[in-house]
Amino acid sequence: MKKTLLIFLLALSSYNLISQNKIDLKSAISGVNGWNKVKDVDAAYIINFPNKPEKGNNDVDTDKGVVKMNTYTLQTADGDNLIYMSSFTEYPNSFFPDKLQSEEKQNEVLNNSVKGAVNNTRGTLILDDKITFNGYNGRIIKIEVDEGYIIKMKVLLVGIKLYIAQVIFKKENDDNADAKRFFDSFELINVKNE
Amino acid sequence: MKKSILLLIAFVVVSNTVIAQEWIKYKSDDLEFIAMYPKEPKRTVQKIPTAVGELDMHMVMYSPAFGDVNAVYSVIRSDYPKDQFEDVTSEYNNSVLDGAVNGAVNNVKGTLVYDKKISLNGYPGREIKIQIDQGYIYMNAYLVENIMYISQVICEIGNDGNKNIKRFMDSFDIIKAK
Repeated sequence: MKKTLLIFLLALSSYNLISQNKIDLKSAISGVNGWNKVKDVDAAYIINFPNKPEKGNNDVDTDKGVVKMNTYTLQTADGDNLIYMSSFTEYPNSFFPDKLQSEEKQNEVLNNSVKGAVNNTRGTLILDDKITFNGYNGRIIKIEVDEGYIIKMKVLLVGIKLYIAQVIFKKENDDNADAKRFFDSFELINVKNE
Repeated sequence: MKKSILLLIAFVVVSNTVIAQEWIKYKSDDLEFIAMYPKEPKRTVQKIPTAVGELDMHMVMYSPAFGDVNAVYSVIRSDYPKDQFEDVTSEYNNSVLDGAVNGAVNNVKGTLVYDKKISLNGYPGREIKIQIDQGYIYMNAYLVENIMYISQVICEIGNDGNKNIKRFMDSFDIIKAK
């Protein structure tokens, strides 16, 4: 089942796996109270995983063209959650010449992300909350998939950059402490423009 | 008796572990930083007279009364006038950081133990250690455009180099908020 769920997860945006890279110089993993802090300066975010995640990048097909998605993924053998994943996608300027400045456009992109996730997993949307994080619009969603598994996602749109943190757990482990710790550890960082 | 002692040791170890895990994440959207503190810190603001006028110095500090290896954990944010940092060179930024380091050493009448150039997310900074009468001040200063952030820990000489110093310093980061 775990393998199936990982496939679900990887299928969220209909992308093809290209490569799994080792951590580069601009991202770092360090221990934080038993968890591993990932700081990705290129993507400008930090997040903590219960163990060392694997870094990857993938091509994602969208209706406007292909975009690159950079990910960190952790599969766990025990604990309340099966998979932890964070991802970062920067859309080309040509996709959104207006830089998604209006809230209407931002909601459109976020709604499409939610719909895409639900369709690709063939799941049922059981939660779709609008949030703001550091002033940016986003969503907290839950999708129920086969065999009583739930995918919980925090989706955030920062300009034309899309951040996603997600966890998969069994229904009975809904909103468990480790999932909360994972989501709460996500933070956008201020990185100097070169 | 031996069993009781073992249980006591186990309890102490567990207690310390629990205490060690109870640090809290402090996040300020308006001051735009995060840091982990052993306990809830207090936020204050002071008006500081300078050559360029009065500046607000925001301080978020936890000063344990007892039961901690350090005397102070704090983050300070000071905003300089923006027009003084338009199109500035790295030499200019270095001179501002030099001023911060010298000011810190002189203000506490201390001795500079080391002064290292560092960076945080591409922004220039300094990692310094100052020896004072009864202890040490560990200080990281970062210049983010026209904003100076200083994270610092003060410890007694006997507690020099303790793990909480690094834990606090490593937890500091500047965040992106709209």
